[in-house]
Parts: sequence; structure tokens; C-alpha cells
Amino acid sequence: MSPNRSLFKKTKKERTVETLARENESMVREISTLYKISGHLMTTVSVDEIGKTVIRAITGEEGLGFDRAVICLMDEQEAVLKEVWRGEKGEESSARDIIIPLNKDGGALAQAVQEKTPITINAGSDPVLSKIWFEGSDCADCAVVPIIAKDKVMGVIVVDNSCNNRATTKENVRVISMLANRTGLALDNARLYTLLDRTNKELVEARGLLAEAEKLAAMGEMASTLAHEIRNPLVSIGGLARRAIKVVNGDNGGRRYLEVIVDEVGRLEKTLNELLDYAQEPAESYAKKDLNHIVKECLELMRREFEEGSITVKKDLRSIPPIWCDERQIKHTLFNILLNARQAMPEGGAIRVSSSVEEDDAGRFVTCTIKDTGGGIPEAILHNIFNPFFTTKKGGSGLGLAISYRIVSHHGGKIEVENEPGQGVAFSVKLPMNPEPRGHNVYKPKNKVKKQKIE
Amino acid sequence: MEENKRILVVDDEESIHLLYREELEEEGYQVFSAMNGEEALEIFGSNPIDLVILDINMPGMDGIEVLRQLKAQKPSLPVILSTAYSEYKHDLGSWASDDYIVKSSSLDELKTSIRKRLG
Repeated sequence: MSPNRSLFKKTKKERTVETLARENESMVREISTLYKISGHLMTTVSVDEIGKTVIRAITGEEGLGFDRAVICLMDEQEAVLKEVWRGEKGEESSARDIIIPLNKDGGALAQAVQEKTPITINAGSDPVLSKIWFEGSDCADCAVVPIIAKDKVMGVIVVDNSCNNRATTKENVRVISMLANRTGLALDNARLYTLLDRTNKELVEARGLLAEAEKLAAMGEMASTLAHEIRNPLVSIGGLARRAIKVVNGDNGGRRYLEVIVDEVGRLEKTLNELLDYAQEPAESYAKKDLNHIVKECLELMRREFEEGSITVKKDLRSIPPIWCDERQIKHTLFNILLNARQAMPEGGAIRVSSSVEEDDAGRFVTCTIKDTGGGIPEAILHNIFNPFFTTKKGGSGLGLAISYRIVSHHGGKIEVENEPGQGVAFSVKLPMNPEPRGHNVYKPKNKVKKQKIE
Repeated sequence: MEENKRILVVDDEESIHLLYREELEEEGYQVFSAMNGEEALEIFGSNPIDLVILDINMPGMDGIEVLRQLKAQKPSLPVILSTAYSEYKHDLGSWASDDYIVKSSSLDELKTSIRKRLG
């Protein structure tokens, strides 16, 4: 190419080629920008990240280079548009939470949503746009482009360029529309991802609960069968030993042996009854009760026990509404936890009993927390503590917490454990504040006997 | 002491029969033993039985079916369910038995229940 080429006067044809080349260059730049943004949008599932990326892409010099942009999203429930992100010259700024109705008061934004098509308009002639561009740039032309995914409007992008009205050119509206499409897809992806993520979490949780319930059910059934197989021979052994005592004369040495047999059988029968209490579906009797009252009664029952064991009791019982529960069973549960706390502190210690109203995803609960200073539970065995027959105590049946767990589950509540190894453990019994009583059965032991009604 | 009252014990365990027979005879009752449901109905059909002690879980005809047939023949007949299971105690109402006693090596509860029903 000759260096003197530019000195020559350009022909008309050359000028056209130059203009086309310039336009082409700018289109290539825009397309490459769009490509880059699209790539970025497809890799993120965070809604906020998507919005900010789009704002930066529209207003940044590296991006499409418009002055200002605002993105509003649809609020499906309230059927309004809500401003979510805004930005200027590549920097996002905090949104002003403008809410735009979808009727005629919503101006060009509402119109773009309803007609699902981009609109170019002078901000001065639209009350909503004047409100959005608060700096009195009434003269600026704006492009209002709907964000559409799967034929559904998810929001709008509002773009202006108060300096050169670039936003209003047909080409630029087309580019913004392409960006809006990508944004729509990305937002829809993010929505689906969130949905999937939540469903997955729920599934994992449900599977855990089911496995737990199945495990406890299997053990309950086993306990029941075992108890039956053992009880019949025990009745014969114990019953006949009693008879033998009557038959044996006077102080014959055999009498003492028989008495031991009778006593031991009595002990075994007692253990069996506890076992069956566990396996048995509790016959519930619900009434509206004050949990604080039940707590106080349990503490009163344990008062002597605590005093003798040098255990101090601190109460922090808040005012809580009465709940539907089986008082006897809840008392049994709290008593079990208190007894465990007592046994965890043979050298004395402190128990703190508190009650309160709490709320989580599942609803409102009244909670009673019993915290001890008994050194906590070793992490290695923590997951076993609600299993039937699991015990760390000599002569313990391992059924106390298992039964408590079942009782609270039947009430639709839960027991939570906060364990600090070396310090102590806190058991929280959470019972739902249902307006009605519920017989929420986690499982029912299978019937071994065919039930038949007799007319 | 009740004289001449006849009690039918239905259970599939020999040793339970041995125990119940001795204990109840000592109380002055006349004791009949049946090892299963069919035998129980047979004995009931040919003897004037005043009260039945009935196990639930037996091979063949189970106790609930025996109870149904006994009550169909003689609605006023006192029947005490005596079983190793405690789970079904609260179903007593739907089974229309007169009492439900969980087997125990001490027969005190059973004896009290019998006395109450035979007066």
C-alpha cells in the first residue's frame, strides 16, 4: 500500500466502503461483547450476579457503552415490576426499589411487558421513566426492552444515553434485545437451579428421616417379637418358682434359690415391659397443656435427687402459649432427659432449664431446653443416642431416649441436641404450636395379631 | 372361695397350662385345658364353662376368632384375654373381650379379674 494513498481525495465509493467498514467493526465489537457476556451469564446461577453482569455489560466502556441502565423484574404474586439493579458507566449502583404497576400507570415499561416488544420513547413523555431517571434528563430517549424466557416476560431492561441518543437506533435496540434474551435464559436457568437445589436438599432430608424412621421401626418390631418370645418362658419359670416356694418346706436351702429365681424373673419382666413400652404404639391422649407447668412438675419430682447430687437448677421459663400434647408422655420425655443429665453429673453440676417460642421453616414451636454441665457426649457415639438399646450406663436399658424420640415425633415435634464435648449437652424438645391435636405417626409397628371387630 | 366354677384355659404352651391349672385349682376352680382354638370350642360345646382365659397368638385359629365364636354362642360368657403382647391392650374395646391381661409370673392380676367376673 502506498504511503501517499491517503493524500488522494477519497472517491464516493471509498467513503461508502469506509463507513461500511466502521459499521462492520462496531457490529463485530458488539457481537463479540454479547458473546462474552453470554458466556459469562451461562456459567452463573446466582440471580444477583446475572443482574450485575448485565448492568456492567450495558453501561461499561468495554461493553455496549450506554450511559445508564435499570433492570426491573416481575413480581408474579403482586403482578408488578420491581426495580432490582441499576448502574451507570460500568458501575452498578444501589437500586431505588421503584415499583411499577402493570396497568396504564406503568407507562412504557408496562406496555413493553404487555406487548412483549421493545419500545423506544423519550423519557420526558413517560411519568415512570421520569421517575426512574431522577436526574431530570427529560430529553433523553430511552429503549425499554422486555426480558423474555420461554415466552414469559421476566422483566424489562431500560437503557438510555442522554448524550447521543444511541439507545434509540434500530441497531442498538436489536443488540439490547439480544442481550435481553440471553438475560432471560440466564435468569430462567438460575430459577431452575435454585428450584432443583431446594428440591434436592428436601429430598436428602426426607430420605434421612425415612431411613431413621425405618431403622427405629425395624428395631421396634424386633423388640416386640423378642419380648413375646421371652415372656412366655419367663411366666412359666417365675410362676412355677413361686409355686415351688409354697411347696418347699421351711428353711430348706432350696427355698433361698427359688426366691432368687422369682426376684430375677421379676426384674426381667420389668425390663420386658419397658421394652414393650418402646415397641408399642402409644395410646395418646391429647389436651391443651402449658409446657412450663409440665417442666415444673418434672423438676419438682427430681428436686430431692438434684439436691442430694449437689446439682443446682436454674430456670428461665418464658411465657409460652399452651400446646396440644399428651402430658404423661411429654413428662416422661422431659423426665428422661433430666435423669440423663443427673446421671451425667455424678460429682454435681448445674442444670439450666429454659423455655421459649421459636419459629423455623416448619412453623412455630414451643421449645424446652435442658442443658447440663456433665461433660457432653463423645462425638463418636453421638449419632447412636436415640437408638433403642444403646446405652453407656451400667444396667441401662438404652430405651430412655429412644422412647422420648418416638414420643416427640408422634407429637410432630423434634428433639435437638447441642453437644459441647468436655462441657455439657443441651437437649431441646420442640413441640409444634398446632391449632389442633395431631396423631402424627412416624411409623406403626406391624400388627402381629389380626384384629377383628366383633359385632 | 368359689366352688364348682369352671374355667377354660386356652393356650398353646404346656408350661402355662401347668402353672394356671395348679394356681386356679388352688383357688377352688375346676380347670379345663385347650391347646388350640378348635379344641377350645369342642370343650366349650360339651361342658358348662363359666369363664374363659384366652391366649391371642396361637397356631391355627387365633384367639380373636375363638373369642368371636364363643361370644356368638354365649354373649354373657366372661372371656379374659391373656397374652404376652401388651401392644393391643388399647384395642380391647373393639375386641369385646371382658379384660386384657398381659401374662406375668405373678397371677394376682388374673385372679383378681376372675374373682370380679365370677363373683
